[in-house]
Amino acid sequence: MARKYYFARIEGKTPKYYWTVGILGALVLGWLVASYIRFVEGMYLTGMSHSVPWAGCKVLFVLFVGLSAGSFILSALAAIFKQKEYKVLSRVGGYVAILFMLGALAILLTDEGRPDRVLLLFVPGNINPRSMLSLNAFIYTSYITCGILYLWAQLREKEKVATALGIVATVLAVGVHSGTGFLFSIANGREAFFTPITPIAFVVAALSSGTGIAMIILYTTFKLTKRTIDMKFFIQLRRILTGLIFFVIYLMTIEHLTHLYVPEHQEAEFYIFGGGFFTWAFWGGLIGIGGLIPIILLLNPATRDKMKWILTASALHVFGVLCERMIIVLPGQFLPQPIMPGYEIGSAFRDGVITNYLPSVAEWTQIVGVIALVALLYILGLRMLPLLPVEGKYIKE
Amino acid sequence: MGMDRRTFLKLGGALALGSLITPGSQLLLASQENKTGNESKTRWAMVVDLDKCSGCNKECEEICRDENNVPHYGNERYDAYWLRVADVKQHLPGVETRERHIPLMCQHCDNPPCVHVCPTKASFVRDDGITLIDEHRCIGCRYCVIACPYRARSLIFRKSDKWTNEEVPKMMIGVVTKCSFCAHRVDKGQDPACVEKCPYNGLIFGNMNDPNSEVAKIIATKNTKILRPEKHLGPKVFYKGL
Repeated sequence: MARKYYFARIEGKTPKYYWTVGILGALVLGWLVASYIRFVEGMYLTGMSHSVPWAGCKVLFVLFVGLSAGSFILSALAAIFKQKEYKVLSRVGGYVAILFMLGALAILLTDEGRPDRVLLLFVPGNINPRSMLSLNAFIYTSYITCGILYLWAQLREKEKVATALGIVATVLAVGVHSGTGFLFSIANGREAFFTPITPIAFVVAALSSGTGIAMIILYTTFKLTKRTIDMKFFIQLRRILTGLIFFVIYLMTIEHLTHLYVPEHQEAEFYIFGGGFFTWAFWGGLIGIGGLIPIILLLNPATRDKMKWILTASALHVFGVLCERMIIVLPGQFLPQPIMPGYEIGSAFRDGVITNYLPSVAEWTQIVGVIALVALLYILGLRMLPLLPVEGKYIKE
Repeated sequence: MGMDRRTFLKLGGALALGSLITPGSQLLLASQENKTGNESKTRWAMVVDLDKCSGCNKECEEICRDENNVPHYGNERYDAYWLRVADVKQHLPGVETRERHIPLMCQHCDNPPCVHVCPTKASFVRDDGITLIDEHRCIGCRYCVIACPYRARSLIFRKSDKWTNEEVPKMMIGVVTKCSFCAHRVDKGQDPACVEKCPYNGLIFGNMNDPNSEVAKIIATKNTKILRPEKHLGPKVFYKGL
């Protein structure tokens, strides 16, 4: 017996909808203006320095790349593994995945010193197979292209094409995350970055945070558009999420233990764990708020079946992964590079100094603007494309 | 032939994968072979004689700025440096601690991580071993700043009108810049500006592949050290008396 879902656009004619579009549009405009001023005036408007050349925008970038995959995998579950009940999520999940990746590329592009020259990445003579960033440019664009084709196949109900594209895009999604992890893990110059586990940790944290954010987005959307959704999905997703959170904590433990045992890397570890912001981000943010509390909420019989608590756990875990991303991107740069080990070194170029970084107004505007961009495209898409099921339940034919 | 569909698909898949991997690995190998220098006749290198460097007023920093139009905004956070003089101290038991001065610049590695990570090949190694940046190709991604183990690279954070030497172009905003061994002077047969103008003659420049050059002779005495040898980068700035 064939089961069929019917999908529809949302009306989107309420004042609330227009207000939301207006506010998000203003924030997106802010992003464009901030990026333009930053491009013309120069990057001194950011909080970055020569010691910390990758900062807030890159943290958002890696977080968004991660969120994209989780949503995509959720969407592809129906297509690839023939999990019929996930079909409800297939369209909206795929759409969210594309948007997060677009958001990631938007912040990456406007974080460059010369965004006007970004097409140089695709000139054949410029492609550098030893550079992860050069390869990533192709992996990211093929992932987005594949995702868009996949969504198209979903919208046209081309099951077989969707399955094939879903498999390709899932493989690409793993490539996207490993590639993003490799950006850091092969950086020779920074001690704290070098670890082969980062690409794996990226994939796992991407899946867990992506599952979390997808649950939040789906539930909120269904609730606000007055649709019903079967609790069964969330129960299953909750189990997946619990496993993934354990895996994230496990990988983090391995990574930091490895570094702690090696004298060469100990300085970086002592910096992260020796008190201060990153100690809080690790123990409080990643392990506490992002790990243990969600696990307790998801395993405790009193809370685990309540939507409210599942969503809380998801949100907390996404915050935890944000902290993890910060710990990957920032402390490795704050720590001075040991240009002359065994010597005390100082210069006007801040050699041997633990640097600091605070995002400037321009960067905050960019970060908030890109988040708004994703949200704006999402609610516009809901109105323009038939993404949501007419009812959360399927109709038997 | 008794080959069922499954076997056929498996074989086909393996072939397809293999054909994908082979050109990829060859590309990688080709880029490995590109690391120039060793076979080329000229390989520019610098010897820094730290016994002669008194730290003076860090004059070489200024000389370098004026020669290469390196901007100085007066803000420690984003001032660009091609060459900087660092003050170093080594604390050893029983030895009186003495402050020394060490000029740090791009080490022009044989195996430069910055060139490896550059997504547009804007950073490249010239045949004579000098690592350069094509500032028209740089997209300002700053990956090379992350990758450089010597902190030799600076980003131009702000518009600069400094144009003290018209032979060298003005700095372009938003791109990464670093010491070029004064390639424009080297190509005319001159020494880099810092070498020529150091009041104590603490810097020596030359072709290390030419056994008669001064640098090759000093390096041959094995009294020189390179920075961060554990990285296996093959830097071409040698420090004497470290």
